[in-house]
Amino acid sequence: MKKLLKYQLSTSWVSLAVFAVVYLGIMAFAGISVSFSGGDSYSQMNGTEMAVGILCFVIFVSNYGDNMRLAIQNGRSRKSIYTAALASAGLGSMMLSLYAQIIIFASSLLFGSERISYISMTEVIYDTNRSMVGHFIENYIFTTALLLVTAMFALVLAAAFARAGKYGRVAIAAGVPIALFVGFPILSGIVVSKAPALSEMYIRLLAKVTGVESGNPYIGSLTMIIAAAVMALITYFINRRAELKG
Amino acid sequence: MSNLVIEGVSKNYGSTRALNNVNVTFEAEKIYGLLGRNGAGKTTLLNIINNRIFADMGEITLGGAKAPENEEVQKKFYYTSEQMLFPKEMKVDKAIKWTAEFYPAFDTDYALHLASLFELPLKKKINSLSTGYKTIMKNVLALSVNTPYVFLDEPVLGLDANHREQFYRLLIEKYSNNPATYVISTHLIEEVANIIEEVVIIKKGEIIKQDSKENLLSEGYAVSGVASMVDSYMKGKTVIGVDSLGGLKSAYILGSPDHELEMGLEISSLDLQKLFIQLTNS
Amino acid sequence: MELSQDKPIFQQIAETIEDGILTGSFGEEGQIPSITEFSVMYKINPATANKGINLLVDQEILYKKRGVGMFVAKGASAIIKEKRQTQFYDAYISRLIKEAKKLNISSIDIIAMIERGYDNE
Repeated sequence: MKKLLKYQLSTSWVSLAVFAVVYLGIMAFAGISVSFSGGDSYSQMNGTEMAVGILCFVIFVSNYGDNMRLAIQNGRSRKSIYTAALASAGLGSMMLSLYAQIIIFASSLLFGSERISYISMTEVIYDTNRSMVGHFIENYIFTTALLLVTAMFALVLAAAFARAGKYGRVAIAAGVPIALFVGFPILSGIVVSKAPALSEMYIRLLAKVTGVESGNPYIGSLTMIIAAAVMALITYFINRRAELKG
Repeated sequence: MSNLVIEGVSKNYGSTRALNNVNVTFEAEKIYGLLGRNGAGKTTLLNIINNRIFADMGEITLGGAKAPENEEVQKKFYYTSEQMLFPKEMKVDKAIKWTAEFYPAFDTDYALHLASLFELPLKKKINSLSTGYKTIMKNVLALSVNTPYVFLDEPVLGLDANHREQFYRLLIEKYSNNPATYVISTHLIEEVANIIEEVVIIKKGEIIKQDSKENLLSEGYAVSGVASMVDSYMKGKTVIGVDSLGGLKSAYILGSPDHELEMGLEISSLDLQKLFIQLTNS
Repeated sequence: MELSQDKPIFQQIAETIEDGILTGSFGEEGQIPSITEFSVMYKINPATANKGINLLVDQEILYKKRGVGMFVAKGASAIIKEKRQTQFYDAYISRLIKEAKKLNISSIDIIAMIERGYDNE
């Protein structure tokens, strides 16, 4: 398993390093340029963890297929591959989240002023007290859970893609973005206009389950962790009998 | 090292039966020829043994331990298939490095020596190699990996005559110095005939012959001469095939030749390729 | 050094080694190439080369020095000559007669040819 992790790291460290530098650079650049410019403009560097989430997603989705094939070529079982993917999702989420939180916290300390604010996604969603100091742990857990969910989502997609035949792959590659960015909004729109009571119930449920209603990020974190676990299970079953095709 | 036993293995692709009740044993430290026509099922069988795909029925065991999804067994196998399982963007030297990581007995110095022997460019991406050089890269890995079982699917695909000869010589040398089981899956019978010790013939998803090459070839003989003489000789014998050219004829017969031969008839031994063709012609 | 189709390969290997001993290429008590070298040179399975060599070991033409290799036995030349003299009829005469009969050459003609040959060659 260790060797698989070592390999996974070797294929992704460049993307991680580049991202780390760019993220730091942008945060710092924003802060520095605001300090030097005059005027009354107010900049918000809020919820920048979103970028980390996207990075996480992209790395997992793009590496899974290749990693799995190399592992099988080198005599590893699908179970090992799966465990290694979970481990790297978990470890990766924890470390990326920590990095993001530290950068946000440091930027806020160094550059934060009336003209520029650095706020974590947790605070954006839950409207908690702006200070990071008291809420570091809360933010960290939430962000880690968020990254975990994106990683798991990426794994489910990648596993399904690897297992699917020619047409299945087209369906996934086209279907998922369409469903997310076109289908879902349209569906929501229809539900809202045609069945407002239903949509209200749905929104209230969502607010409860994500902890937005109670302003508690821990509830949201728990929900996301449960979602991640479900996706992990689905991935396990998809992966188990995956056959390597040409 | 134990034997690799394949029992009752079947595999369907939709309505096509790719493998039908395959029973075969691969013993330790022998060179096998897994011979079959295009589409006979050689690659399917190798894919199943090496955990790429799953059999619908049957068992594959090494010394009693199940092979599928079992790393203890799979780490004793190395398989170079037609399809590349390395990331396309990976460079040759990295492929060598990672194979060495996953296979502790891998001889990196030997691999690098072979690479220079074949003029395999180490810094090139696998994707950008020609068909022949992709094959060479796979062979370099297979010859350096030092696992008890090595499976080679068409190991001379795309190789020019010089490289083919070089490969065979290296394989023999390697096998002689470090005996292991090599299973060569190919349809180029003539070239491998002298190198293999054991023969497994697969036809339309079924094993039709499994024996030592010596036994197989001693099963019969070829008789040639004037067509009419050959025809009368053939009477009452088990003929598995004939070749005709003008008035001359060759017949391939099972059993032992008659002690008294008419003048004008020549006896020669079966050659593996001819035997294979006769056995696998529909 | 081509391999032919009509005789088992291990036998051809054995005969090549015997020829080498007779011509002096492999001296008595000298070492002969290893099984690996033979198999690589002829592109054959080492088990086949081994079989040919073992044949000669059984006939006391070769012997094995553990950990070193195969060596030509003392008196190997004599053994080979004697063996081949015994086999001479089957190996050469019988075929010669068959071919002669095919071409309608009488035994008297053959004897004349042989005498001519011994004078000239």
